[in-house]
Amino acid sequence: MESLSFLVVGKNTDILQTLQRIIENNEGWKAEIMSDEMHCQAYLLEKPVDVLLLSSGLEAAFEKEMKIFARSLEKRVEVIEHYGGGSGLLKSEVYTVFPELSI
Amino acid sequence: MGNTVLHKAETRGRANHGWLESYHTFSFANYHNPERMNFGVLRVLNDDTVAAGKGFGAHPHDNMEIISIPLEGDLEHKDSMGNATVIRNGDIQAMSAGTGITHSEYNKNSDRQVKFLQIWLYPNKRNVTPRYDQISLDVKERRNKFQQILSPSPDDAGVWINQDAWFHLGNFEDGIETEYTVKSEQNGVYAFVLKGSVEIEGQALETRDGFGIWDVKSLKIKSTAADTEVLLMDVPMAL
Repeated sequence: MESLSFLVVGKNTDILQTLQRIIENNEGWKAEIMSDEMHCQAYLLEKPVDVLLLSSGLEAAFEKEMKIFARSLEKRVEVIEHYGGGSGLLKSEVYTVFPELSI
Repeated sequence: MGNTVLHKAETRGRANHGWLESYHTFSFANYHNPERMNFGVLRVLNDDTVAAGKGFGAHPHDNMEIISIPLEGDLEHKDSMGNATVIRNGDIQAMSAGTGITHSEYNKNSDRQVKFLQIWLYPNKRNVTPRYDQISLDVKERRNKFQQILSPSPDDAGVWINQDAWFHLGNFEDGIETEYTVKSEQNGVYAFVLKGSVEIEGQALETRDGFGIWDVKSLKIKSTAADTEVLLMDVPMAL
């Protein structure tokens, strides 16, 4: 499977750790987790990941700001608003953005 | 007839983990079908059977309205808000996962399986405060008519959720005709046949078939077998 790098941002540590584990169960997928969203932009500037996964507990204004910021980066970062908090929808959300991976 | 989508029972995704057999109407976990992503805000319709004494260990959820409808057996629920309950046929459970909730679900019985529907709806607002609700309904109140089991309002019948959705269950003898009025112009209705067979707006449906219809104001429904049971999910079509 093609490699993908994720930054998962959210406020619920249990969910962040679960998402990291589920993501890394896929060969070639790596995830960093972050509960302090203030460091998110600096991280993306330093390490431009493939996917910024917005987990739970974030302010709507921050989510909107990050979508705009991600589009402004030289390397394209796909922003996914994650729903469900686990394995149920994660792959569908990723495959919707990267349909070539689902084949 | 308005716009429609038909999902025959045998076309659903299937996962068999030994202790859990699950049929997925829409893409879920390792089942991914771009043509089967959602019906409006209805994102997950899983038809689960859990073996005796087995279940889902503690796991988190967020930002989903999660409705469980037990069909057979007893399902034991524990969550991070301190709820420890058992739900069985006739009960409806709703969880607003919001900012995050952890829960477990086990088959309470060591000698028989439990069957239940697990339904996820996108919420109308992200990151609400998590909430749990459970009610027991009198199943006699759905004999040859639809009984409301879910709505957006705490003051209305059934459980309530953070979405402009209404669910109804009905049990019908053969040949009963009824009409369902869609709650909102923005909504469509996804019908799921639990038992028996039915015609909805002339579309014949068998057990475990799903049928979505939108851009209509009402539905004509006719049972075509004895002991027919139908779930109607009236949901916003716009995400």
